[in-house]
Amino acid sequence: MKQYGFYIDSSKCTGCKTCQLSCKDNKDLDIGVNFRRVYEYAGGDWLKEGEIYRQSVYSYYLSIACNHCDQPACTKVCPSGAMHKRDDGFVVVDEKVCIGCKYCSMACPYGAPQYNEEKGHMIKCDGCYERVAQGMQPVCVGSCPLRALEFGPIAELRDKYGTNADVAPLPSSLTTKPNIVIKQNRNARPTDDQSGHLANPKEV
Amino acid sequence: MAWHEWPLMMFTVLAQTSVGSFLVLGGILLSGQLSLNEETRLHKAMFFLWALMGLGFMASTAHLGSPLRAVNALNQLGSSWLSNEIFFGSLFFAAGGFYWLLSILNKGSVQARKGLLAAAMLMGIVFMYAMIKVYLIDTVPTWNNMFTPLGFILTMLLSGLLFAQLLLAGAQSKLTGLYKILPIAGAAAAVISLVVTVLQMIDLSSINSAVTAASGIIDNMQQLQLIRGALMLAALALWFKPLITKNKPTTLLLVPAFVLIFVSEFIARGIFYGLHMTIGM
Ligand code: SF4
Ligand code: SF4
Ligand code: SF4
Repeated sequence: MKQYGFYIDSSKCTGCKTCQLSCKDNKDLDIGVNFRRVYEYAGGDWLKEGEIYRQSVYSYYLSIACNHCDQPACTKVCPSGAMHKRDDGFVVVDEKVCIGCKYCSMACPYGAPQYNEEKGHMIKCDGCYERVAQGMQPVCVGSCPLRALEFGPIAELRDKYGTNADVAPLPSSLTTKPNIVIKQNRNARPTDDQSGHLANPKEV
Repeated sequence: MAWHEWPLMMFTVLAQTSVGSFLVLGGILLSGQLSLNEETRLHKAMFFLWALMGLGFMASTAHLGSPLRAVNALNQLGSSWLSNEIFFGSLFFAAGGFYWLLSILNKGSVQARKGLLAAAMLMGIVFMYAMIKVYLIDTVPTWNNMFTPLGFILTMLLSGLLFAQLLLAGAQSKLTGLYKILPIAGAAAAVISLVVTVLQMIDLSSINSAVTAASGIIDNMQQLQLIRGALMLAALALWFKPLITKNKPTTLLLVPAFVLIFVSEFIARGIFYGLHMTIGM
């Protein structure tokens, strides 16, 4: 079985959200509906060193869409089968079948399924599978001014960049086996970190 | 609180009330302790049980974005617990409703009816089991624990027993023993429910993701729990009043008692849905 994936370079990403917006434009998404979301994880404190205080403030960005997981939490619960994993590895909503029960979005720990109020059903990143079938890249990847996103067969990406898919605020990759490779920011915190917080909850 | 989930709050609490009371009333009907007249009156009163269940199913479709496609909810029967829940819920409704119809019209043999009644009770139990499994999602740590089954079963007991008593009183049943046992069982369930709530509130402080702390999701948790507890105690007081004054319980007393316990469980379910979070973002 084929499987594509994303490489996300969190050390380069500036949080500019061009990826999010180019996707929004391409897929004609409403306000509040984002196939790709840029999470800002931030934290830090005052540290006392002898007689002086220093700060350890940090923040970094993670651009996350759907990870087209090997063990998708979303498809497991979907009652209609609308949320399904295709032969090319993409996890896609069949919009003609979905009943809009929102169960998939309750289960996905990456916030990928996005409910469309107007249509009355779920929509989500489909990996631009139609473009990919024509040999093109997903829209977000090409739009990134920092070249922080890459797309391709996940095996190739893992050969090139390693296998890490864990960093806060993402959940442990053991749960859904996401098809992403993450290059960590120098401030990166581990998956189970509690020291930071989501700095842009209204943007994701 | 998750008021926007009102359709699911209605559906689950109403279904648990219906199944809970149906199991009690079905047990009584099967035991053959009722006179023929009492049985007829009880069957008539049970109209309200199916009304509640029907209302619950109606509310559940309000949760769907595309209710006209609701039949698709059965597509993944076997692998999706939501499909299983809808399937066994429908079987419960169909089997129980058919039993009720035959009894009201006095059609079919007594044996056949009893078989149907027992089958409906079994479907009700499987329905409740599936409803619990729907929420045991391994990526949702605030639901994927023992407090989900405990909460759901306690709703069946609290709301279900009181509703069963209400219908029995409405049918002027002469089973005076039950008039004692039901409120006492209800009081026991209430005590367990309060203890479970305290334990759960303690447990919440141990559930965190990198961006969400379970204990901080609902900011007016304390008030909500207090209101919920007060409503429950008020319902219990009304439920127990006939025991203390040695009168027969009247529907005049039990209807407000049921409304109080229903609202109390409804708030508890709102807290449950409000506690949704995932292990990620
Ligand atoms: S990221 Fe979420 S929606 Fe996408 S495949 Fe994984 S579990 Fe499903
Ligand atoms: S909202 Fe649609 S895709 Fe998601 S679980 Fe329900 S039926 Fe499946
Ligand atoms: S376009 Fe590139 S740099 Fe900008 S937010 Fe997206 S991944 Fe980060």
